[in-house]
Amino acid sequence: MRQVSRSNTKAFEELYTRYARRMQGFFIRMLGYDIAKAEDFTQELFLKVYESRGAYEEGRTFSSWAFSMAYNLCKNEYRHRDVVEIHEQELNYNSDVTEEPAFEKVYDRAVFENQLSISLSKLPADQLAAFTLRYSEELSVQEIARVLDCPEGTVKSRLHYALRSLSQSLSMYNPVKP
Amino acid sequence: MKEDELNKLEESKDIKRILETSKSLYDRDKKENQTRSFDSLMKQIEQREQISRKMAISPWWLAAACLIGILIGWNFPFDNAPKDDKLAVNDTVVVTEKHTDTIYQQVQVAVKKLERKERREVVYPQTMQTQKVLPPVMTTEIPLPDPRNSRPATAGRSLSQEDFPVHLLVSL
Repeated sequence: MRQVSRSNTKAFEELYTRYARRMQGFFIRMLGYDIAKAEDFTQELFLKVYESRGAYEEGRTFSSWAFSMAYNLCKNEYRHRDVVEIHEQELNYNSDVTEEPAFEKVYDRAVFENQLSISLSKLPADQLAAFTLRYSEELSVQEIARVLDCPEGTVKSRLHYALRSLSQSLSMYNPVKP
Repeated sequence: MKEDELNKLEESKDIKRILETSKSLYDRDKKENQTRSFDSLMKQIEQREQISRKMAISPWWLAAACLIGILIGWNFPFDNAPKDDKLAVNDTVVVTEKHTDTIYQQVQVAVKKLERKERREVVYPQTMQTQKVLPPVMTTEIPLPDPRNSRPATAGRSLSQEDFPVHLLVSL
């Protein structure tokens, strides 16, 4: 990042190669599996990284800095377009279909994965962010607290609520391991 | 307290299964979806920088504009100038008459000639005949009473005449 702040294009390319996929994966989950939008947001995020390369605090990991910017982009998106509401409406429609699955399908792993992604999308944005950063990106609670700009206790309670609501919504699905 | 509960939850079988599946889904999404190329990102960055360069005002131009402004302001005579050197003297203007003219604007209107398909016969004045229509009162002549007559009420008519008004005579 020090090299990037000196307008080194090669260093920036290296940074992009390392982190673009991670960031895109985060956006895919946070924006309700909208791939095109996730691609746009990844591009926008790295544009912002390049523009604000001078404001980077040394000593802080790049991933936590980039994730905090990514989370802010998502929050803006929720605020401006009410993505959550629209997505919830779509999910309600989908959940009607999978509410009472056939007996043999209950044990299908694919159905479980589908239901899990639906349940994840139903989580509030702050809980989903905490869940993704903790269990998918494997960041520490301290780092997540920095990314989400909240105390560590809040992160823990968000994780707790997210896990509880996921276990409740997926209690009737029992996948068979492949 | 929350931390203990969180640890307990994380260790439970159901939650472990959820976390594993969630992680595998996340990794699969990352693998399956390619990111855009670095070149496209750099192009976008260049475009943005060009726009910001166009929008930015050069500090030299800004300094030059300020200098010109100061020079104009320095040489311009404001209140310190003598009264005779003033460009215009304030005066009172009294409006004596108010007149408003109507301004007409010439507008060109496209005139279309009407084509009549019907043929009409021409009626000449010689062939026209006028008929006098008079009310019946005007056609019959009613004699007016003569004041020089010895019997003006009877209008000069004698009793022997057939149309003499007998009822009028009785009233007299």
